[in-house]
Amino acid sequence: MEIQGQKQLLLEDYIEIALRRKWFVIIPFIVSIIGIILALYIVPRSYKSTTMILVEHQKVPESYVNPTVTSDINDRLTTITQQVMSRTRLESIINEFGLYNREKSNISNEELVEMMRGSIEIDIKGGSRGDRTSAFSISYIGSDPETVMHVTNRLASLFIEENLKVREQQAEGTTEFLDSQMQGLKATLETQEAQIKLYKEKYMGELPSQIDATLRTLDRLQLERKIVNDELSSASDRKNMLESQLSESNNKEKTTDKTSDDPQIIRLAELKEELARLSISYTDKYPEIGRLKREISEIQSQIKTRKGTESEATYINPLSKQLMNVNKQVVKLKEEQEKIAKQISVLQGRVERIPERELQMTALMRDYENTSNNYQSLLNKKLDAQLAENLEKRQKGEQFKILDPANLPIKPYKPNPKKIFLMGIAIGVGSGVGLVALLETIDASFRKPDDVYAVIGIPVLASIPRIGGR
Amino acid sequence: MKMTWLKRKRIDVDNMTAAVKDNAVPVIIELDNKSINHNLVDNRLVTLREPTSISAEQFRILCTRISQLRQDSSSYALAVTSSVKAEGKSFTSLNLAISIARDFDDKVLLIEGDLKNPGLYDYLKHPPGFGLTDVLEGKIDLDACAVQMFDGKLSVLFAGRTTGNPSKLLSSFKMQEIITNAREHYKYIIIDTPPIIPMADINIYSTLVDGILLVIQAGKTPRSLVKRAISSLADDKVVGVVLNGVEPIQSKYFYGSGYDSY
Repeated sequence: MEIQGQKQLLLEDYIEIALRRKWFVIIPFIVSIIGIILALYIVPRSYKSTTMILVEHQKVPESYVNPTVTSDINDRLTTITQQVMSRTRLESIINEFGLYNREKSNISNEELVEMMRGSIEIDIKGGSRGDRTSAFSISYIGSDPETVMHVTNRLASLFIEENLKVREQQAEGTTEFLDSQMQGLKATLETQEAQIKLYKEKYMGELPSQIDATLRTLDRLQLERKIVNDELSSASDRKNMLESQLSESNNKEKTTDKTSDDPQIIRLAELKEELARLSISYTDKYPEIGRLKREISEIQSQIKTRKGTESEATYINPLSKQLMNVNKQVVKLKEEQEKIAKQISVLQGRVERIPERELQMTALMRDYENTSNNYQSLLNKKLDAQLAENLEKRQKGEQFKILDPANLPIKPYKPNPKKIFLMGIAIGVGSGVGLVALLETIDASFRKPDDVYAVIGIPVLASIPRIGGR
Repeated sequence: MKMTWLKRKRIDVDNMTAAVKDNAVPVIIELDNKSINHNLVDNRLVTLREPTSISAEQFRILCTRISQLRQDSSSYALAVTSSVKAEGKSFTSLNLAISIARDFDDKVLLIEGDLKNPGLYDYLKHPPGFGLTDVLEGKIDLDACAVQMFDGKLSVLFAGRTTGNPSKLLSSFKMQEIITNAREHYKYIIIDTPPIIPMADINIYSTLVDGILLVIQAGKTPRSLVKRAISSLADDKVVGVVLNGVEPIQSKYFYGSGYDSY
């Protein structure tokens, strides 16, 4: 039978309601005050100690030493937090400081560790500006102020240790990795070097780097050949000249020796004449000449022996002696000529093969150079890494420093009287008001003429005030 | 301060019985403006004791509105009821009747219709005597046993003897006859009836009257109960509500707000 909507309540209505329902406001309020007092006594006190840790950035400028640990500080902090908060670590802290002795008997170790984790707060500061974390705080909440302080300090030192360890491990890891890479590369480099050496040995003299020397040798040989040829022709001239002289003198001798009628000498002269005639058109190798020479020397030796007996000295012609020398020289020169020709042909062959060798050599060298470059750059990197590792070992890299050591909490962190008091009052007043509001909405009685008309749709003809005292 | 005052002749029941037997004259309560005897008038009779009060003013407003319901010069029968007992039925009926008789100068008959728990005696400090039951049983005439006030402008018929089964008495033809007769002499007939919820009597009364005035005790009677009570009445019979016992601060602000309802 709702006819009108809920009409607006006026301030007077609120006052009226408040006066009428004053106990519903006062009683919850008193209850909440009692609750506050009880809470302050009953709730166990817990203390909170905080330590501030500064993230100190690398002390040596990065332009000199590149740090090998480049992961974001926030990421690393999460990693470190995980490590510090690990079960074994926390368990050892719990045992060391005898934490949670009261709870120990009731709950498992897992839950204890979980409780401990819940009591630790890590708060990162200054992360928003330039995304470089400048500091973070570690807090621990516990029941005993002194223990809380010690635990906080222990946690802080664990953080610092862990950070150093992580950084050192990362730096060492980098160096080790580079080392192993370098060893592999070094082996490759050595094999390649051996290959090149082998190649060079195999094709000695045909190598592109030797082309100048070879060409020079070739030039020299050609020059030598020319000289030898010249010498040979002059020797041949001389020989011819000597031969003609010799035959002349023989003739003269013949004439001077005309008196002798020795048949042997006549025969010798004939033979020599024949030889001279033949040697004009033939070389010494001509068989007839050889035969003649042999016969001449035979007769000459016969004459010599005869003459030695019959005359005091045998006359040996100096010209023939010279001729013999010249002959010898000619033979020698010819041998030399042959040798030079052979050498030239060898060298020419080499020069012809040089372009081919050059190609092969370039291929070999290219591989070698690549490997060598790689090796060099790795070597540089390794040196850098070692430098960074030293940096970490000497603790000149980014590190954590305690800015504020953990404080000894004086006031309990929980319960916070002010907070509890405010909360209690709020709950008290809130529940009182809520209760009244609830009662007002569910209260079924009519209070005002408008209520009546709104609910039953019958006009109120008169509203009679309550008679006081009734 | 000049006040209308109530003075009564003391009558004892024995005398009254004798008077009835002899067809004697009705009891008359005389009123004058001379003196005030607080002991004789209940303080709930606000219209009488504090005619300038807000309550008295409200009753005058109520009179005006009821007079507007009356068609021409015809008589108007009004039943005053409530959802449950003790919501102020007798208080409202009596004050309304006084207000009509005194302030509006109209003839009014107030019948105490609650034969089980009559309460009007208390208001007027009137000793029990003959009343409605007796009239219904035909022992006595209405005129003979109705108490007269304000020079006969207000006649009050008390319940009389209480009875265990009022419905039987009420449903008799006699009740209808009483009302019909009364319509000829009175401009207003106000019946103070029993509450709706526990009694069935209101159904009898509602057939006899022109309108029903519902009294609601503010801050007490649950809405659901009021709704239930109304639903048991004929829809068009309830002409209005009197909200009783409104907080003073409320009445101060909502005084006269009922005008809006028209």
